[in-house]
Amino acid sequence: MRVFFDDSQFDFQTLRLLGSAGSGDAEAGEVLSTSARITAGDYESWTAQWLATARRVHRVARECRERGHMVSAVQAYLRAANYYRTAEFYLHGDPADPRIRRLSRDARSCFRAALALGQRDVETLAVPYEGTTLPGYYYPASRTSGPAATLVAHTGFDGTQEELRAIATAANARGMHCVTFEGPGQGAVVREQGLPFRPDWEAVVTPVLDHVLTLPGVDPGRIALLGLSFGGYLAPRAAAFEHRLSACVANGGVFDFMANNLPDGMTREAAAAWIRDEPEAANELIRGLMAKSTDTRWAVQNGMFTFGSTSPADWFLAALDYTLKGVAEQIRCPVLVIDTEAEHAFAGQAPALYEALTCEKNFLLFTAEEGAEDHCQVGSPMLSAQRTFDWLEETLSRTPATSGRMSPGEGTGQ
Amino acid sequence: MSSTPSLEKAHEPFETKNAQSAGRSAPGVFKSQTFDFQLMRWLSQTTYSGAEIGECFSTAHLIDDGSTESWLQEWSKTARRVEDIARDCARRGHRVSAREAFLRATTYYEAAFFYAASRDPRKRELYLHHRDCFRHAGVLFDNPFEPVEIPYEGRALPGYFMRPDSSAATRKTVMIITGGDGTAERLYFNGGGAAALRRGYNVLCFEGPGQTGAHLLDRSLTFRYDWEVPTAAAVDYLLSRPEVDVDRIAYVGYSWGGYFVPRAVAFDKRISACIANCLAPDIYTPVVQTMDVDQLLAAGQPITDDQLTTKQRYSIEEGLPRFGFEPQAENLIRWAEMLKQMTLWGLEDKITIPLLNMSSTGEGKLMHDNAKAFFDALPNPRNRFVLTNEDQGAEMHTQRGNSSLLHQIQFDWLDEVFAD
Repeated sequence: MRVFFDDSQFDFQTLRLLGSAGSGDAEAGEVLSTSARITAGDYESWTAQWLATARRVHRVARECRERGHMVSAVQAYLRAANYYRTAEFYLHGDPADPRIRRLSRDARSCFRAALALGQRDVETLAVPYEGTTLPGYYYPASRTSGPAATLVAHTGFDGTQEELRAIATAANARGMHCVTFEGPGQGAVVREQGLPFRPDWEAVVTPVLDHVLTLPGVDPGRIALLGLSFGGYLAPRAAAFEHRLSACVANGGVFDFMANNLPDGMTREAAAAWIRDEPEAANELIRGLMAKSTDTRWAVQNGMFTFGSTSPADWFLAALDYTLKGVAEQIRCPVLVIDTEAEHAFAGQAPALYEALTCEKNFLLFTAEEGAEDHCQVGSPMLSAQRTFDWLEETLSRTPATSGRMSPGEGTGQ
Repeated sequence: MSSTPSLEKAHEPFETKNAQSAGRSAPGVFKSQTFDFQLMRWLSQTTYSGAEIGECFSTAHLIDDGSTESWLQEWSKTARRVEDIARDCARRGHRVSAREAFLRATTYYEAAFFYAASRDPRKRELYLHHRDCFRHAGVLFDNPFEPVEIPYEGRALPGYFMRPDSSAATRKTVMIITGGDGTAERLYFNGGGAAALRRGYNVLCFEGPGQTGAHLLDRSLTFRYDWEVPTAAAVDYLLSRPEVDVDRIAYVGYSWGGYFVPRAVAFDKRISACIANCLAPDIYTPVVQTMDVDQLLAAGQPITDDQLTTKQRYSIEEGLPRFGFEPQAENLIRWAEMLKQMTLWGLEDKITIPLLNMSSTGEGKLMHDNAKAFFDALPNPRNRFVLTNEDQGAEMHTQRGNSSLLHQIQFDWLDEVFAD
């Protein structure tokens, strides 16, 4: 759905922000009045205006804290964090741009200031991983009797784990613990540690689960994994090899990351061979597409940044490895595959994943009629959480579930 | 007390002409100014789980711009769909999901009846759904909201008493009212009920005579200028609750509440701080202008039904019964006399408790100047005048579009007043 800009890329990011108002991570008036100052499609204009708003709200947060108004300070820090994240969003065309680290650090420090002042105990995690650590947060459910179910959540191609606080809050409200983390290619891991994405995501999730199992109150028999956006490839990939998971949610499901981007009429094998043989022609083709579309320009720039690629063609080749062909059938736990009617990035990928699964599975489509037709239901986080957690509650409580498609009005259709 | 210039300083001139104007924060979905303005009201309830951005925009996109019937139909459909979700979740034991969906349905039902005429039976029906959804949500909170009926002259004023937790502790308490539209239920969201609970206040959201729900439930409950009377009933109720710290009762009013609240605190000395959003020292002028009867009244002649335009006839049918008059042209003059009594001028010396005024640049220069002139005549040194603007995403009347900022300013001020 269009909310403000005719430029579909800017409009989607604006909807993403507006949607986060539901968890107190934005205010509609701040989003719209900032958007009105932005020149559509102009990355520098976007950065400058979001930075101005981020700094203004950051000042409010500091003033509230200095004067002892902690509830107000927490709320302003959360919004400032999200606005700094947004200001940084389009900077990846030049990975050496010093603003990338500066603004993402500002975002994290505001978020952590909010956590420190807030009433909830949230633990910052450093998950041991291949000689280094991955950052995470542990949001324990406030009242549980005995070990509780735990949701492990990660984002995708361009998100941060701080954005997942809304999901953690939804989990906690339902008596579930939540752990979020960032893996290679994501958030602080790519920006601070320079680690790019890897297709074998189980190599990331396995050490995360090892660590989760050491946390107090975690029921080892009820751990679910949720992946958002490109995480709709990563999470099922991990679940195919990591059998300690009791459930997996792919929002939205991605069977083959690059399937929708193959040059017209080419198979993946043909595309790969052509790019290897004629990388300069491929680069020229992709750069031409980037010049025409803000969506493509951003996707390729961010792809190169997060995959550690040196050219568009180099990224394209690397991205071809992210497919669940021959993998999806190895998943044993129940999987919820989510799709959206106006899916822009991964159209058709969720049904492809659903069809390939041989485990217990459910398919959930969010529609335009519900106002939830956009990628990851970014405009409708409450509706999204309702359906996702209703499924998780029913799946993890081991009500025998029935595989099948869930119609939107019926929730999880038992 | 210290001030926070970055919150108060207005950078923008008053470019707008009435309270429904908006600057850069306008969603811009509708060409109809009032539709766009009301859409922002529902959008900004998102902050307290009272709306979902996607549901608001998708509904708005289906509405024929400017058609109040289409507005009612589309919001009704969304309200029913979300209420169905709530009931389904409740049946399957998903308590949190049910609560959130009931809260959103509450908002969408209010949106649905917002423009309906009083004589349209759907208005009351949709209002009752609105109330019902809120009550269903209320019992699903860890500390359930208590619907209350405040005894008032042999009748009852509707409201909710809410506590931040279940302890018997004595706490500071805020009473919240709206103005010419809005309900006690809505006050939980934009009105600051939820924000107050997060900050450890007890909350009494209620409606006085003439206000939306009160009047729909009992047509004999009509507006009165001496607002201290219904206010006293509400304070009496609060004093019956052991959880209420009698020395720390605050009173917040929005829109016309900017008249009601200062009027009441001039007489009811049991209230120790108040917030007017924004100060409305005189109700007469804005109301007769909104109802398009200012010229008729200015003529100073008897007015008959055949003189009325369609818009005026509609205004009279909607407006007069809420003030206790039959909707006939001949009653306009007596009604106007009553409205003229709704003035704060002359009460300056009696409004002695700390008062916070919240104005916004989108309300226009006239409203701002009226509020400021009256504010400047008030005696308490702790009084504070705040003007929000579009840089803050808060230029709209009652700061719709930025509930977090609104409640931050209001409650931070109140916390400081009550800290002494």
